[in-house]
Amino acid sequence: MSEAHLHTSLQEVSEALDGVMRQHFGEGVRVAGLSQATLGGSNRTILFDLVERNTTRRLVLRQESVPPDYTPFLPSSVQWEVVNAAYRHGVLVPEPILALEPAHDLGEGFVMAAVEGESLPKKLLHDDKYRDARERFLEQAGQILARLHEIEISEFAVLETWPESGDPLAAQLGYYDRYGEHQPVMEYVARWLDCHRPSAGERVPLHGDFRNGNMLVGTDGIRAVLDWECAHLGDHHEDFGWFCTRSWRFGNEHLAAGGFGQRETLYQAYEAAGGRTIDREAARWWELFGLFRWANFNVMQVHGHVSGRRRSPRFAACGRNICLMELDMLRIIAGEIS
Amino acid sequence: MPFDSPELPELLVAIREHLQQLAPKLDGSDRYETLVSIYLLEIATRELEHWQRTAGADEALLRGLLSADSNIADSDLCRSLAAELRQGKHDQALGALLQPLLQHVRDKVAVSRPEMLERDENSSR
Repeated sequence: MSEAHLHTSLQEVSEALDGVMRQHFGEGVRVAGLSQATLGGSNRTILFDLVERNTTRRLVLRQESVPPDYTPFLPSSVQWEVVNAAYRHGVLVPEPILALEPAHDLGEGFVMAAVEGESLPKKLLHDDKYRDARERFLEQAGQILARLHEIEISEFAVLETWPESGDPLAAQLGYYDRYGEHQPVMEYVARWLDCHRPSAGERVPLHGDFRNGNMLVGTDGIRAVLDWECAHLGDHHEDFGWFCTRSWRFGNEHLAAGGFGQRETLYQAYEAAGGRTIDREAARWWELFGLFRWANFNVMQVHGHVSGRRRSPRFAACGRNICLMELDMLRIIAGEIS
Repeated sequence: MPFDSPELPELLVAIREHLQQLAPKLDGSDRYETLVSIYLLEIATRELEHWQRTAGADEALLRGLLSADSNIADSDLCRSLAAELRQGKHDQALGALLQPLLQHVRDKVAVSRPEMLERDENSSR
């Protein structure tokens, strides 16, 4: 099981990775300088150098950290297909290098090029260093989404059977029911969403977690879009709703588009770059849906804790933070905030 | 029944004080989880106060929203209302449930993160 691989030390990972790289690039290469960059909700990322004679290339290993049958996250093998399709079509993703195989004994995962940049939202929103990048952020984000959404969905056929690629609300309720929660406000919002569905947008490939925090940014602007484990097919408004959800404004609540600026700046950049037409009202429905989905992710985390699969105070805290999202959702429905 | 001293809130304070001294000596994930533990103890402390102050109020509110007129146990109120909502029993009157449910949520937020209520009251649209 992939979790077992996370207990292997960096030294053991280094040795196994060395074998993988020699097999792929030839005997002249070696692996050096390993460091664990993050241990996130669904992936562990390890940075390392691929050294060949006098050249060094910085790469990233992403290892699955949670067996996918307990989460709404795509298994690594599917993420690999998605990232490759996006890369082939010129979406700003790090270059995919290779996918891990069982014989590599490193669990599930893949290797990509490392991209220099900052992803911490508060730094991006407040650090002087990123002033120019901030100015361009929404324009770039709109262009990236336009590029992604124009790719034929047949290129992402691997996503067709994923629950989120069907009815998105039913998919969320499906997860919710597995976590065994029975909260009136979550059910209320689900009913409200169901009773107020907007007319359907166009079916496109979606990143699914496109937000401030999942992009690597340099002083010149966005350099790479990361974290494709929530990719699916669906209404083109969904990526906009998620991006503008209140949870991703990081203190800049009045700047709905990721804390960077107004929604309209993002919408217009997307439309100008050849994206689909944005129905402004529909996009708001998707923002509320995004909050519901984010609350549901937190339900998942607390379920992992309570069920004993992944016990830790931070997952327990997720349970007591769900009411913050519930408050936002009801206040949005009441028209008090947006 | 009366227990010996320290009383329950004081026990929580004792653990919290210890963790507060411990946290600066730790780093990385141990430090983070310790800070989260302090946060959770603060929630537990506020929840105890909340019970003493508003015993039964939230239960009465939820009971008033149920369309089923039955003797549902307090511990099943959330589950029952959730089920009624899922079945669509309140679809025609979702608006009428909004303010009561906002009150229900505000009570939860007052325990989890009271400063959010103040901030939200001041936030602009």
